[in-house]
Amino acid sequence: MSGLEFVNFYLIPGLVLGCIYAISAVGLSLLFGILRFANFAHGDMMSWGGYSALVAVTFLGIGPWASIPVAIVSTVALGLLVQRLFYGRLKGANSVVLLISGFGVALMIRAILYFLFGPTEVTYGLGIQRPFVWEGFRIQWRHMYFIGTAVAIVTALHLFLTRTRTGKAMRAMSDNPDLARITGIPTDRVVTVAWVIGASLTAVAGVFLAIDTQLSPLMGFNLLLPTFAAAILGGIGKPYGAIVGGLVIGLAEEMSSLPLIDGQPLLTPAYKTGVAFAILVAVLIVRPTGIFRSPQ
Amino acid sequence: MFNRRFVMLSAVAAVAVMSGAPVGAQAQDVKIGAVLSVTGGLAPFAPAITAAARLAVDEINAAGGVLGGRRIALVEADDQTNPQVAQTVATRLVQVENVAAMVGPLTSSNVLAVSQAVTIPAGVPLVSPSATSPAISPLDDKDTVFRTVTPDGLQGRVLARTTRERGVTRVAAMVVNNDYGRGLQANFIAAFQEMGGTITSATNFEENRASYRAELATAAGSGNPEALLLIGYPASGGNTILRQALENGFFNRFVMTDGMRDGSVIQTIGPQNLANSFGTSGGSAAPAETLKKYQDAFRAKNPSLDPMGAFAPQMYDAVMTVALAIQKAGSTDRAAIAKALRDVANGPGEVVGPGDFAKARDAIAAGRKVNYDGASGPIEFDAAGDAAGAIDVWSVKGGAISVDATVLR
Repeated sequence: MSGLEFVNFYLIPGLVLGCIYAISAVGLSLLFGILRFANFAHGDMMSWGGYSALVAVTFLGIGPWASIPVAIVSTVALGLLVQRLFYGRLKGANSVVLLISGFGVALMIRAILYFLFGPTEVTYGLGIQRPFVWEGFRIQWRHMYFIGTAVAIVTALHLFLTRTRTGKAMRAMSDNPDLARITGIPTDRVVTVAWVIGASLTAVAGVFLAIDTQLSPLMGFNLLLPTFAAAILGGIGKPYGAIVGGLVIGLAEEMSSLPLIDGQPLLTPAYKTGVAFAILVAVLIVRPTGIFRSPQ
Repeated sequence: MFNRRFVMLSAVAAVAVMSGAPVGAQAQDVKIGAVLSVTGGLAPFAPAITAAARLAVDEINAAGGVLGGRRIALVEADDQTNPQVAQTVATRLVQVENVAAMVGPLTSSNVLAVSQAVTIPAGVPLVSPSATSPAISPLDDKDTVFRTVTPDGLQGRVLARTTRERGVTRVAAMVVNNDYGRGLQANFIAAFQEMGGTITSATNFEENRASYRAELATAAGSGNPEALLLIGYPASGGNTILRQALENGFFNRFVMTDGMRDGSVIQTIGPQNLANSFGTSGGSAAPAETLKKYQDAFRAKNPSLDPMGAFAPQMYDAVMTVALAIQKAGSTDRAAIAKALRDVANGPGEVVGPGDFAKARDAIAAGRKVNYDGASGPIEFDAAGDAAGAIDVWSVKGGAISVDATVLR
């Protein structure tokens, strides 16, 4: 196998998958840092974002890329509604209670999607697109946009967290919520901002996933485990860690079917998910709080 | 993992809560459980299959029901195309709803899980319209597990022969990692190699992944294959595999099976990209006039659905044979129903078919022997409880799935 083949068919797909995981995991991790619980409805909110874009594509006649703002607005609205109706009222409750309420929310969102759109998978109608080819190097245009968007998101998030007052307040609250409250940080406002950012990222990940595969009410839920793996691997609560975690898991999954020996994949692709979790467990044994230490 | 267990538990709890009893079920109704895959990988097939089951029940009740006027109540449950969930909902149907018999589940994995854990121990007769894995035949089932669909031994052979006839000698296989995929793959490979074909690589894939590019690259890169054998379901990876294979130029010809015989494949991939691809699926061996009775009745109730959608005729026949067996058994005793299934379906006897329920029931009530020949074929259960039917060879023509040939052997 040539180096070019490796780049085209293993490295780039791994990066693309990693970017989708990373964008999704950053949102999850950011919200965990502020709310202190794992939002199990994250996957279904991703589906919500994907279907919101579908509504825009269908009724406004715009392309899926142009529909991303619609998906963001709709998912942020959903996130704030869920926070107001459920999570906000359960503030300070036992973490198991929050976890299960997260499931409840996830099932409600999924039920709404099933009710409105049915179980049949649909696409944005992009059809088959031939890749961009240059000197044997090949990549789908949309994958270049995915990677570009991921880089832009990381940069913007970094600037936000380090340069703005609200960003600094978020980091403070993520590090120590009690101390943050005592020093006069408006914690309710920070929670709202965290939902706006987290839900926006979730919506972007959902639309990307739907562009790359297809829409089904279970699409986001199916990504929940790798998203959690990425977030935990990076150190949950640490957005930068989630990016690294997402890329590591995406690359590891695609690399696991490399035909290094005898044209056969290293590992039967049926066990791809296992690879991600083997890496997760190995890292957690060495560094129990993830690559970037998560807050206790 | 801790979190994962919660996922499972809550999913199970949600299913248990959400699927209630049928509306308007009466105490004297005879309940038939239907474990369907309304959501999950097989979801695109569910509407036509469910409609076929309801059509059969409606016809039976309109004709006056069974056992001297008792109505049939179909208790539907969704197994999410997942064996654990299937077991949970089947347990509820058997223990709580106390169903007399069961139709479904749809997938082979779910039939294996449900039959071994629930219906065989409870002695509930189970008739699946669509589980095609050869692994179901040798089950030690005390003669309670039946199928109105032809097992995959025949489909594998017909697919291998068709593949060779259409000039393909080197095939890479990508197959869903479950009982259906592995069983059918083994049948295809054995037959294909016997006919002089070469399998360049055989890979099992996991459902619901966002990317299959790496395994497609590996499959395309080894042994110079001419086509990809894809055994899977459209919603849980099949369409993604087709799309990624085409976009990256890994494969442009696909050999598919019943799992992929669905309009959503054409809608997602585009008919021009499937021009030289083909596949097989369980077909109907019924004579044209028998089939037409079923199709007309189906279309009258469901104008937007395809009466020949994969496994819909088989589901209609499953409900019909169960209802006739209940009549023959003379009670809702599960063991008696299981025993009567072969009696009403197999020859010799007065031949009855779709739309003949009243006639068949009255014949049984009068003590005569009937032989049900259904919409999917002449339904003759063999010693293992399997029906021998026909296999359709299909391809995509004019933007729709069209049947090129129907093969009996």
